[in-house]
Amino acid sequence: MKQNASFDTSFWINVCVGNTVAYVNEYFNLFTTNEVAEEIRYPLDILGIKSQSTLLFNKWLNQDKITLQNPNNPVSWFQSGENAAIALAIEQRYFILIDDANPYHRAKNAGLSVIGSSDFTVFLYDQDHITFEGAMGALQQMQISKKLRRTASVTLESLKRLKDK
Amino acid sequence: MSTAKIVTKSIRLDDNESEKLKQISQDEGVSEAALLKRFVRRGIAEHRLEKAITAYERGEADLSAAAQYANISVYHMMSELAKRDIEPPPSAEKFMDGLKTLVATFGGSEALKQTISTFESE
Repeated sequence: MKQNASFDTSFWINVCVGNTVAYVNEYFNLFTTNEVAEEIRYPLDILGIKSQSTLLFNKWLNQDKITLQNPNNPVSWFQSGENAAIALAIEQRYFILIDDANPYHRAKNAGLSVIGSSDFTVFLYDQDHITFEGAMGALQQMQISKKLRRTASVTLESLKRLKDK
Repeated sequence: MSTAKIVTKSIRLDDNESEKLKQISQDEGVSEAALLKRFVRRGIAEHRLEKAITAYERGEADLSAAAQYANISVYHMMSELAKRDIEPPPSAEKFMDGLKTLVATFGGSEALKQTISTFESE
């Protein structure tokens, strides 16, 4: 059953560059805030760059695949974007799709279910939505640290070995 | 029309620095004053980026706030962090927890459950 989820800019960018974005909508009803929308649109609105992630975001908004919804009381853990996404998830009891690890512990302490683009990629391979090569390719494309890429790749390889048995 | 007030600042350069500035000015056909302004702008941008990255690395700022401080897009900030291989400490824990949440919510193969269990026991 699809779950409602609030997402932040980092997650959206990584599933777009990793080419796994189409599957996000199969598992989640997507909600996001004005702050996050502004961040995702920054390349187009401020820099005039037609980035794939911005264009797709606008397209999905127009197609009602993403709903704009704002929290009543933004949390003030840090200063901006992620706060609004997390506050919305807390108020509405949504999942939070986020790649920024800094707010992770606070989000967990607030009782949120936290998903990132790299774990989602491994999950997609497990569910046979994408091939092993596709999953590895996605992890290579994502803007993540070498350490996280290595952790995700090792997990993926272990999973492949077990699936191939 | 911009209403920004223009302030004049003077700086002292040694012979070597002055000569290099003159050379670049001649090579590029740009006045020394314009070059200095360009260098100051770049320097400020670089300084703010470094401060933002340090704050992010220490967990003092989230990605959005860091990007905002450096006056760059979140994508640009993500790319700068990836280039420097900067990842906040909880990222590996977050990865495995996310995977477990996905399995608990949507189901997963026995192979995935076994993989998670192996990683957790290590």
